[in-house]
Amino acid sequence: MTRPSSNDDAPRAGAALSRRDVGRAFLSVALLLGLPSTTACSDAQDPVALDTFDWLFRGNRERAIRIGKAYLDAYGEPIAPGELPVVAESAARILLEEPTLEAAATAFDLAITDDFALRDVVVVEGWVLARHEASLCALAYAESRRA
Amino acid sequence: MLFDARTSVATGATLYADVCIVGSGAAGITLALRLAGKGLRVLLLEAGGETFSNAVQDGYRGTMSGIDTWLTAQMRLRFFGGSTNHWGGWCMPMEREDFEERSWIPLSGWPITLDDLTPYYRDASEIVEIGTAPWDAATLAPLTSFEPWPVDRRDTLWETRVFKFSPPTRFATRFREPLAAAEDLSVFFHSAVTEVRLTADLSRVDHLVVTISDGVTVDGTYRVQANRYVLALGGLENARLLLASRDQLPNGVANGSDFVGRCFMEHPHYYSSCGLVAPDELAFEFYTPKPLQAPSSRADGTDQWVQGVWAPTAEARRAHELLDFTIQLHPFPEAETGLLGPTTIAALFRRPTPSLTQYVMTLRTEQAPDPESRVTLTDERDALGMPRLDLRWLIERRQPEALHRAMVLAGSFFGERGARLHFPTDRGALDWTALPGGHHLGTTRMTADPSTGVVDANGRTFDVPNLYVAGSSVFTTGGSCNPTLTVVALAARLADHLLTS
Repeated sequence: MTRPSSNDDAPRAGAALSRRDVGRAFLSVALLLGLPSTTACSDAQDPVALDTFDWLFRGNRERAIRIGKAYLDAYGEPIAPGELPVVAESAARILLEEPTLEAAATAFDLAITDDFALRDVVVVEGWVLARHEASLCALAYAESRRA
Repeated sequence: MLFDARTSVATGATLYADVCIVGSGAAGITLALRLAGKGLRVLLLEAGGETFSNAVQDGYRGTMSGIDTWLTAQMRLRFFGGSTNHWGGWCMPMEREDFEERSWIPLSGWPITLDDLTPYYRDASEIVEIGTAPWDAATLAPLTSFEPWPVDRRDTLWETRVFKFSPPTRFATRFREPLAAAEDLSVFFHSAVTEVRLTADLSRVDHLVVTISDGVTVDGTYRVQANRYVLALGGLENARLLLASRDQLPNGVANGSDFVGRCFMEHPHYYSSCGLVAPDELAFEFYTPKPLQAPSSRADGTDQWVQGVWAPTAEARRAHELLDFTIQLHPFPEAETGLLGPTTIAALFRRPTPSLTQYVMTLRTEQAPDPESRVTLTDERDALGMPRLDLRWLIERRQPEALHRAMVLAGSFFGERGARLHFPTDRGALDWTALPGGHHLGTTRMTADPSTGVVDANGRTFDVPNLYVAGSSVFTTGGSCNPTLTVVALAARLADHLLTS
């Protein structure tokens, strides 16, 4: 896989996304690290360099990465550095479709609650997790592998 | 009247009665008191004395050839009052669906319904001193100041059930005087029934052979002849006595179906196999023991304690082919959680410094009947010459799969409310370790079909019309709740049957 050459290749928020689109978008540093934050990140000196996952997990990115790795180990999806795991796509969609990190965080909250309500869950090392939160952890793990 | 057979019955004597009840535990005492004063001569026989004796208790010693997380002499008591002398007092009626045939549970289906037992549950509640407060959690909640968790309209899979705590009632203590004073009721201690003897044509019980003993020495034997006999010896001993009475029938008495001793069930308890990490703002108060507010206290002014537990609805059990179970939580900061610890999982709460509490979970589960889970006799004999028992407690092989499905559902339920649940999986550090509840069920099971059971809907053995069985051994399936309340209710119902039939 190759890195997109320009922002023109990145899908627009709200547009229908193919898996390939999401995969390509995942590789965009701008998308992953550059989602603007309106409140919680206002103190950040360099919002562009803000770590999306550190923000979403409130400083617990490394723990989320451990969960994401365990998730991928359990569900048997080996990934190469820079590759988007299939199970991470649902989280990537939310990140791509929401205009801000706060909006993305809210969307994750809703999606996770819905997952549990619909019993759309995965079991990771014995923990019953919402599919979207496991997906987000898998994305964090993949991002750590890419970095 | 109360008698010590060692000093009041001559060896070789024959005592006569209309009804002879064998065993003075919850079932036997309930039955005796309900029959007393109704124009029947009632005998109540107890192998032990009025107080505990190691020598008498030794008669309960046996072997465990299946799951052996307990000893056969530990979970029951052999003296006046039986195992109510160490009963914990947990009370809850069984669920309506527990009595029904469930396609995913082989050999399920009682020949009676919850409606048949409902009036007797009311009587049993009085006997075990748990008052008349409602069982329904929502109705009970105003009496506790705490609310059960609201169940979302989308979630028809979970419900809150309520345990009520008996003081606990020690039957010998509470009912000694009424038993002593009852007209036409005689209680004989140190009177262990060692054989059920049938008539020559094997059609009825002719008499019981009763051994007079202090558990060390045998002082002799006497006979009891009655019109009807009720075995109320407990979930293991009822089967042991029937199997040991094999002089006339090689398979024992009332065992034409070969189900005596089979389908032994417990309530497998999983005390810390599963756990939960929950934000502190989640309110668990309704799910911890608490006293009811007046006027729901007991008649003597003491508090009536209750506790909520979570359980799957009948719809959930049907849709996901689950055995019944209940969930109880205990705060436990140091609980093991497997490869991913609670600190790691805390990341999922996506807060800077989440204030979380870790809990371990007690699961009380139903066990499916399995004919290979059974009581048999060994070659070793006790001081009275009775063969000691072997208990092969087995849990049906699909139970872990059902638990897995159940915990996925439970994890979804708690997850929707902001907590995260963990349970043992193949890769985890934890496992499912089934510990006993001390509940011995199923070894003389009640069925509609004589070929798969031992007693009929009234507790009468299919093979011997004047022989009945009372107590937890008649449970067809066990539900998930502690059995004493149901044992007492069934005994009260049997008393009515004996009075009217």
